[in-house]
Amino acid sequence: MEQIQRKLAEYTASLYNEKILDEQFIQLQQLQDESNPDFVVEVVSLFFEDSERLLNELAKALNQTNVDFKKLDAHVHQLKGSSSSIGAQRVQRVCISFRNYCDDRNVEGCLKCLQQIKIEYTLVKNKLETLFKLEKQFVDAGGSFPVV
Amino acid sequence: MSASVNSNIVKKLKALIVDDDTITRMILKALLMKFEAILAHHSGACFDLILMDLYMPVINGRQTTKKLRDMHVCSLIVGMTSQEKEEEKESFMDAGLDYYYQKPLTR
Repeated sequence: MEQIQRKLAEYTASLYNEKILDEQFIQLQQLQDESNPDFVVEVVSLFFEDSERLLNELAKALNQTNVDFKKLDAHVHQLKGSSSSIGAQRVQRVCISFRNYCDDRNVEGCLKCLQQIKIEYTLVKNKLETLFKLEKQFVDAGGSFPVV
Repeated sequence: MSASVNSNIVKKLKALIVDDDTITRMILKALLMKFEAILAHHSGACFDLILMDLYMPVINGRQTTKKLRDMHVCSLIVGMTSQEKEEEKESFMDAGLDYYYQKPLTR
């Protein structure tokens, strides 16, 4: 159990060191309690669903002959908000750049940002799924939170 | 975040969350529940606190706040947005907010 605990603590620390997550994720964990035991997983699952829908919408919007930048910006604004809410720092940062390119009506810049967001989103999704697996292993081995 | 609330002394807060984003509503609900708030889902009730998002489809938070104040609603209205532009914040405050917070609210 100690080995799993150490692995979990090191993995968690790496997510913050690599700026994949920020302190907002800690705030989410603090909202989880006995009355709301699956809160973090529920919020993050919703983030995954929302993000995948928005990424499809962004790709569709950028594939149009006449790009509707207002619509594009609205989708990016939503993705920026949800990534900020769960602490997905790197996704949020690309969204900020994306919005600037929308303001400038720069299609090439927007396309580059979309590619970058896909990379960062895939990374944070994989990392969070691994985190939840490690947390489950820790709990199954008899551990309890918080783990520093 | 800690909430030491003596429910025998403090009236339970009746709060309304006005935001088109499901994730934001989930997080705010969890945050308010820590303070033993009662969450309302319908209009017509008298709210102690209204958490108002700025950017929403059809009618935005600024317009909604102005309408509520025109109706003499005296609830505490707290605006929330991720926008950093000062003129947007000021315009939102001018609509009748009591306070303004930058999202995410848990920070």
